[in-house]
Amino acid sequence: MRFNSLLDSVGQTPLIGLPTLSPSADVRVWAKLEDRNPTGSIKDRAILSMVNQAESDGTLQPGATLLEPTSGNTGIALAMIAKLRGYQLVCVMPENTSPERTSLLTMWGARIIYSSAVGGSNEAVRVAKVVAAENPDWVMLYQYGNPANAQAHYDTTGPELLADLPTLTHFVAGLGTTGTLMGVGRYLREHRPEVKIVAAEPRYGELVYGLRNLDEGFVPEIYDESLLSSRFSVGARDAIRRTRELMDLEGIFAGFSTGAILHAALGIAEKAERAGDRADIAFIVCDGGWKYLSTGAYEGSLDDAESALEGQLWA
Amino acid sequence: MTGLSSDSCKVLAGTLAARERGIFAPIVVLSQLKAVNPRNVESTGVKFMSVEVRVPTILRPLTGGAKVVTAKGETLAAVVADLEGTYPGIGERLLDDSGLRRFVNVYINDEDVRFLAGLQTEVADQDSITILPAVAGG
Repeated sequence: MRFNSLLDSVGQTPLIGLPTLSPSADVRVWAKLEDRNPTGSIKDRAILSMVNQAESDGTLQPGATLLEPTSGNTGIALAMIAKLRGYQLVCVMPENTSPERTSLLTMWGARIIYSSAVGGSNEAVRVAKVVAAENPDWVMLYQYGNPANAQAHYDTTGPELLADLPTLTHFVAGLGTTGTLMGVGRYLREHRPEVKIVAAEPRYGELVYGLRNLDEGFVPEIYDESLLSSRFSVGARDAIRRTRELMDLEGIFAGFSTGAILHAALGIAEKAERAGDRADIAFIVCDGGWKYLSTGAYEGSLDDAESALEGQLWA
Repeated sequence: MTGLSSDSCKVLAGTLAARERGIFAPIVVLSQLKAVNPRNVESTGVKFMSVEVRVPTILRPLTGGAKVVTAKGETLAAVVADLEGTYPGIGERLLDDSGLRRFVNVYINDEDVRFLAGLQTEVADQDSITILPAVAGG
């Protein structure tokens, strides 16, 4: 495939059947390999869409400084695009993220403000809003509230899935900003209303939920609960176990958020198989495992791996 | 316990059946807590399910620091009412007049109850309930 520039190659990712993990010929599980995007994650789609939108509506002027709260992938995608388009980038990132994320952000030229591990991404969002108020000339595209985030998936991920798998019955993705599920969900509701839209949400260690009070809780502004069919919480142990199964049985090397999504996908597959229903379940591989190797959670016992991710933002 | 156990499938099946019949469970609000408190009706001899409830750090001052507590009730609303009986004050941290508070997520066997029957979701013996504040990702 030929493209005129790297950014033209965002999206059009492969949908890969999982012959070993699928329960039968009637219940099939499919992986959409979003790690094949230029910076190695699904975030390239959302960020490109958000930057293009901000350029076309005049929010983003040449040479501007961008500011964004991120636990990693969004920042990395934004750093690459900012470099190509001539913007500066400041990321607010929780300190309990893997060192590879810092290295990648620094490599692409981003500056990092670390937010406290306690409170996880909620705290990064809070700090970013303070920094934005102190620097009114900086532009915060704000992935949690920017409709262009979900729009990217409505315009690209959703149509790609349906084109590759017209018999799709379930779509399973991770719930972070909710952009993937909102965009694909809205597209499928319009074109295949019977398809179930399923969210898999990482359940982190206690540190991440260490808010001062419940009013510090956070629900992304773009989240529309009515687009989802169900929502599952998946802990680190199940996520690690499934990430390893995906590697051992299908040869796919993915990050731990993908393991959490696969756990939900395989639960649905098992249920369909028991009920004797036909199912084509597509799920998102958010990124590869490269950025998480230093956690050590790809090897050794599950207990050790689980301890290694305790307190980390592993998804 | 995994999120998609046969128990949670049973709960889901029951909920879906209710949805198909067009029966949307009414929301039990904070002010009704006392009315559904199973402690008030325990003398009738009805057997109540015992479930494990995981309490987030932020609510542990109310449970004497306990991370996991047990409660009884055949629905989530009854479980919350039972918790309120044992740990006064916890009910209003979880519910407001419209039902479950916006930044409170409750999972039964790892499935978000907002996609089951909310506070009317039936609870089976040995189910695991997890309460968590809503957090961001990305």
